[in-house]
Amino acid sequence: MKRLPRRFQEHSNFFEYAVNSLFTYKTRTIAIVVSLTIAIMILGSTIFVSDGLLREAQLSVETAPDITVQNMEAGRVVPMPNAYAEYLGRFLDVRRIVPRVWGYVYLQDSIYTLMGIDPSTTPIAEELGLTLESGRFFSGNERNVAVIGSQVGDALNIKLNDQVKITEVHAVYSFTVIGVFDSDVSLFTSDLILIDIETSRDFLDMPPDTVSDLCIYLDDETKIPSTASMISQVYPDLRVITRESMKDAFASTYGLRSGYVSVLWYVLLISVILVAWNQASSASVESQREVGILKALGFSTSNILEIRFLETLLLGFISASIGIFLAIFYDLYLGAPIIRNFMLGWSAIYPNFPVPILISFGSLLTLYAAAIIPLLVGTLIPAWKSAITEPDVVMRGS
Amino acid sequence: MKIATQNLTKVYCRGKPAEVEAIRDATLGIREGDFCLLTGPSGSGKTTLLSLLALLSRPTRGKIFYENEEVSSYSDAWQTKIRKDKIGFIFQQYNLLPQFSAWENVALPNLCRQMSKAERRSQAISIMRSMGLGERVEFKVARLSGGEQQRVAIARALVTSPEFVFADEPTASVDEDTASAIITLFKNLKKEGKTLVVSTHDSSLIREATLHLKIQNGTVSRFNGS
Amino acid sequence: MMLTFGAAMNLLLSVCALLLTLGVLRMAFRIFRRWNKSDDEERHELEKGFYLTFSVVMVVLGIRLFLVPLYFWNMQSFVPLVPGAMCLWGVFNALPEGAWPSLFLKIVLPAAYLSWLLLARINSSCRTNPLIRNLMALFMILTPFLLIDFGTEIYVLSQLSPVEVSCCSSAIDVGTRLVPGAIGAVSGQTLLLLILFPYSMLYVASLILSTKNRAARLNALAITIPIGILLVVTITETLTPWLLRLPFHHCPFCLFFQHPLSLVFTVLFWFGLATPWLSLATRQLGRLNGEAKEVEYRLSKTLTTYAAYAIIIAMALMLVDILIVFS
Repeated sequence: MKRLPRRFQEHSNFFEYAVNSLFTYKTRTIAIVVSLTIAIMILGSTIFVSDGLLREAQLSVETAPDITVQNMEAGRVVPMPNAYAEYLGRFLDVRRIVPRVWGYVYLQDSIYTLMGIDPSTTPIAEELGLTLESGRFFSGNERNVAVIGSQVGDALNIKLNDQVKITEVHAVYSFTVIGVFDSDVSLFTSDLILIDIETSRDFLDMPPDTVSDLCIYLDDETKIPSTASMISQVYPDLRVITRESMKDAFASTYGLRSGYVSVLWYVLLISVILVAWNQASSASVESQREVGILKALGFSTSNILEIRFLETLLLGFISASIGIFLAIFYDLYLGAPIIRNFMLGWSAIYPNFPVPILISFGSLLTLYAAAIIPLLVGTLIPAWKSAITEPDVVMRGS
Repeated sequence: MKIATQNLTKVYCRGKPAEVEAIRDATLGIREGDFCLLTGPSGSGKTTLLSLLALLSRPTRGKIFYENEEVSSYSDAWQTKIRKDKIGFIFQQYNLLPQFSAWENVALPNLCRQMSKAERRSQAISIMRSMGLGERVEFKVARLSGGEQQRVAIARALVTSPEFVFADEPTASVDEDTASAIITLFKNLKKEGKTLVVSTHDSSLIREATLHLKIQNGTVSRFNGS
Repeated sequence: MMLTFGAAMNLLLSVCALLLTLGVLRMAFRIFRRWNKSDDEERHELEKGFYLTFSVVMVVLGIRLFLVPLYFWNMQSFVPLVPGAMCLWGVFNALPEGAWPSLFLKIVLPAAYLSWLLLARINSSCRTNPLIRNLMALFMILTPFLLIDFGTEIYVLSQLSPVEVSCCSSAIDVGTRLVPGAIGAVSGQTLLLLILFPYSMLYVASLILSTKNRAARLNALAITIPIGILLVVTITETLTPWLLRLPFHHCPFCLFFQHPLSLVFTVLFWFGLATPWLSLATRQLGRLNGEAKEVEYRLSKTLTTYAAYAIIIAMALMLVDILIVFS
């Protein structure tokens, strides 16, 4: 094995000693590692889910329209006349306008999005960026057929060519499933039931020739901000939502939620640091004698401090690594219960879908720093007290 | 003079009711190659003087010189450096670390040097073999007899080839054979030119001494045979 | 207050540093006051206290240095949360004017922290801890800056709100440029690079010679300022439009976060330019003599060599980055 350069050999020896020390004082090691691992696991799983949802949302938003326009009255979204499509189509750079009629339906304890579009005016796959795993889209004249999200099929236990029945106050609507969306577009389509616009309007009891919103697609994406601005000025009663503002809204939501969790996590961290302080401070007579012997043999106070710091670094690193591993397991294999509800919100019930996670270099670095630095701070004084043990303590003991 | 002191004084619990002047105004000189013996009754201050000379504790007043440099005013870091480079200490109670094996205890002083594990092990085994401990290399401390533990402690003190060897009652807790082996070892060290400072009651060591210091109630005087 | 994960961690580590700083201040003052007046025994006790102070200050300065990139990363992560912001400039536009100095502090204060660490290194290498008082004094001088550093972070994070802002283009891309479009057959942007490279090599030569004579040391110090200005101008006027492939965009913050390599060579340049000042500050603050002066000389020589390498590597990376973009 290649030898280390001489000037690093001493530090490597101290590292070896620190590792040995962790095994010698097992109780202390286990107490600190277990408590810090749990703390990092909780924080890490929240951050990974938050970052994953954010990325998933931002990817999904890529398939969103360049601009979405809704009609507002007294602060609420109300049906808008389809005629707006013609008015807005006159703006420069507008390539296509897709009217949508949508709302929510309640099926088997979950809420789903029911959306109606007119495929004769919209080549669905190309415009909306939606791809199918199986089956086909419906054509302009077809009625009572639906394309569903893959999670909808799983949740309702329906497959291609099955019937999905939706009960409304005055009628029961029955649709034949002719297509299932690809899981690549899952966040956007996971709870989506896509039908023709007329049936949707009928089901949602909307007046004729009205729509829920209009999706605007431009020739040039760089014109989005200016076009949105012009629409807002010409039609101040309309709510204008750009793709960028949707991305920012997601970033704000998930970013702030993970920030609040981090602050609550401080309480847990303080208790971990107290455990570490307590363990480090209750240094036994044996431990003090050990330092006295080392000092007598030529170890300096700085050397002892270095060994103690290395012990802390190791404890922090090991705890953070195990915590991160457990966080990934908790998120990926257990589906991040509790955390996913908090991040997704409890105001709507979503069908079950695998929680996306994202592990970035910045998050990992910050998690390791959050484990190591507070631990270092908490054990600094006990480490110092140990390191300043006089070497003649071993003489007095004899 | 290799080691010299000037009005060396050590007071424990200064300013408190339990104040004790363990060493008082000690002025002495130890030459290179001297076999210096410290004798005196229990509680006379032998161990205190030994720990002062070996830079294990700090004097309350006075100075300590190593090769004409006043080391008592040096920082803790530099005194430690002198201990690391020049001093080997043999404790009365062995003071081995139980979590390590025999060779690891012997190699401990080399841990704060630029030596790899293989080099440390090789050097430790070499000196252990010279002390008849070749079969005990991997033994944990608890499995060694008292005599073997003392020999491991001596090996640890000598592994860095120190210029100065300090020993506190090295033959007090061992059997006759081990004591005899230790005395032989000290004679060999003396022949090698090392400077030895030993506190003891052992009369066979007294015969080998080139400098005999008697300590009584903290006062150090040269023993002239009477 | 917009509290993201990064901001929460920034706060946590900042508070750790603050508590440590305040906790050890009294001991530092005691050591400073009593060191020269104490007898051997008291001095030995003060020395023990010094180990704690020293360790704490090392951890505090280490945390503050670690927080510099974290702070910028956090501010960058606020970009999606501030409507209209496209880069760090936009985020700072959402803050009151008092927040802008924090940017400046984050770039300058690390040099002060590194000075202390250098002095500490010199002290450890000497036999009699000759610089303990100086270290304690410098720590007490640094403390207000540490508090300001902490304070500005809290201020920035607490004042940040999702107000609509204009971004960098409206400030940086408007008005007359710092260099003419062309001088003769050579474009102004190319000319900046043609001046920066040889000038930097001249600086490297001064650095190498500065280890041998005082005149070269003063020369190296003097050159750092024009090179620093030239570097900033080159990044803004030449590198940003070239590397981002946006001929009329000059925001360095956009460059740093879209082109991480540019951040690397800028930091290397910063280190290379800061080193002579670090050495000067260390010599002046330490009031070195005797053994400490010899140790400082050796350390300074090593640092200067690293600084020279840093500049050379920075220039190489700059060249590589340009070639990659234009290939």
